Amino acid sequence: MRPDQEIERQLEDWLEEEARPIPHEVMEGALEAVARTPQVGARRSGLPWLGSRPMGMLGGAAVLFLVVAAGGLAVDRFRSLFPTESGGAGTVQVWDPVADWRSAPDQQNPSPDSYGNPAVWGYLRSTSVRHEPTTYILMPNHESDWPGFLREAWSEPAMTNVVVAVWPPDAVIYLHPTSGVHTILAWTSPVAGEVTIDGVVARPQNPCEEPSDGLIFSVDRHSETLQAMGLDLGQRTPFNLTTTVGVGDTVYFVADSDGDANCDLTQLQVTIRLSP
Amino acid sequence: MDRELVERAQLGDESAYAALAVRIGDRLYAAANHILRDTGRAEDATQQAMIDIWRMLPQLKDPDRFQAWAYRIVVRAAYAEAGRQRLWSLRSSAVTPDRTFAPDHAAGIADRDQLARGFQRLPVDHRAVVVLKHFAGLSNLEIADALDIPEGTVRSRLHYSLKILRAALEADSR
Repeated sequence: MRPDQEIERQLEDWLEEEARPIPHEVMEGALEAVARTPQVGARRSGLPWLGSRPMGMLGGAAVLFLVVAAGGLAVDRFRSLFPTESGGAGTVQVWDPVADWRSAPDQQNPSPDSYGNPAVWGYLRSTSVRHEPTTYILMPNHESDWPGFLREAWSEPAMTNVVVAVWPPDAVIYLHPTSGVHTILAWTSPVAGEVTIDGVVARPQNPCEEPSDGLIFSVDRHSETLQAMGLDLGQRTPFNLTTTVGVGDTVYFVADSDGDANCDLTQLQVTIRLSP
Repeated sequence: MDRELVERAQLGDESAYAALAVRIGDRLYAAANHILRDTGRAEDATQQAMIDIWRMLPQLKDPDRFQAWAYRIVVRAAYAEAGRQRLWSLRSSAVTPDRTFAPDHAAGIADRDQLARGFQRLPVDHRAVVVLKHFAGLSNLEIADALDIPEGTVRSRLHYSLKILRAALEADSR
């Protein structure tokens, strides 16, 4: 039997031998993106932001493509590393489905918000193609069986890939519908007043290995669609709207496969803010 | 790593950061590539990590710890890539295609092939520990800090990984 030290030495040699240099376009892309990316909590000195771009302007389009392909919402990724206002004690009440997500073993569906209000968030699927809340049902199955990953999902075990999932490293919710069945994140208002809904929705699976048609993402209040948008592969679209809600009114964020569900994984970042 | 460069980059000096990126880029990419076993995803993870490092640099308290901190960020980006891949391929094949490492055609180095196969069998979170230990040279404590896991978990993952690699190596010699 080989000693541990021998295996470790072989392993270290092998890791070194297999190491490849970073491709130039990756480095260029990163530095191009850096030039457009502000630092978090920067302590500005008198140093100017030097005009010289070490790698030139090459690859701008490639950067955009890679960033979108890598998740699309990268610019907002660091939201997960800092406290959000959701559940805070500030004067402005804000709800964020990632911040409010309840991980196992405390998962619930519907789930309370961080203010302690019960049944604010719901993880649902439709039973038809209609945008009709009476046909929506709660996902019955909670999964957290990917050790080493922070992702958890509410799913419909009777269907393939029908999930509402959270991905804290990117601070996003993932929705994946299937053909004829919408996947839905629901927010039931614990307050009355005017709320502003800000978000970004994206379809990151680009390119798709299978033929894929569009996807329709909509924001509904009850069965009324407040805003709808078609999303192509790789597309990332911000949305913003204001609506008035009463206590118990529900806003639905609906991913509709609009035909086939190939590569219909949908990323959603959203905050709901009660206007003061 | 040059402390002065790190401090300048923390103050928003892009040229200093570019110099840092050039110095550390190969190691970060190789670490991501080892963990993900997929060049395309490693490229995405590394690029994202390099952007994240820039954004977060003002938050780094001790510039002397830049390298370990940068590995922490690239591992997280690799986890995100791996998790994204799993989510995208829900209940389909969870096997990561190995586009990075073609079979080694050199004679007499069967151990390397066996190591590659054994390494491929390790879960991503175990690969990360192995890479941080045996490629990045971090201590168990630094790895625990980087991955937000107890030091005992680092030790157990290393132990398990070594067991898998040993089995892969010795399977070939039987």
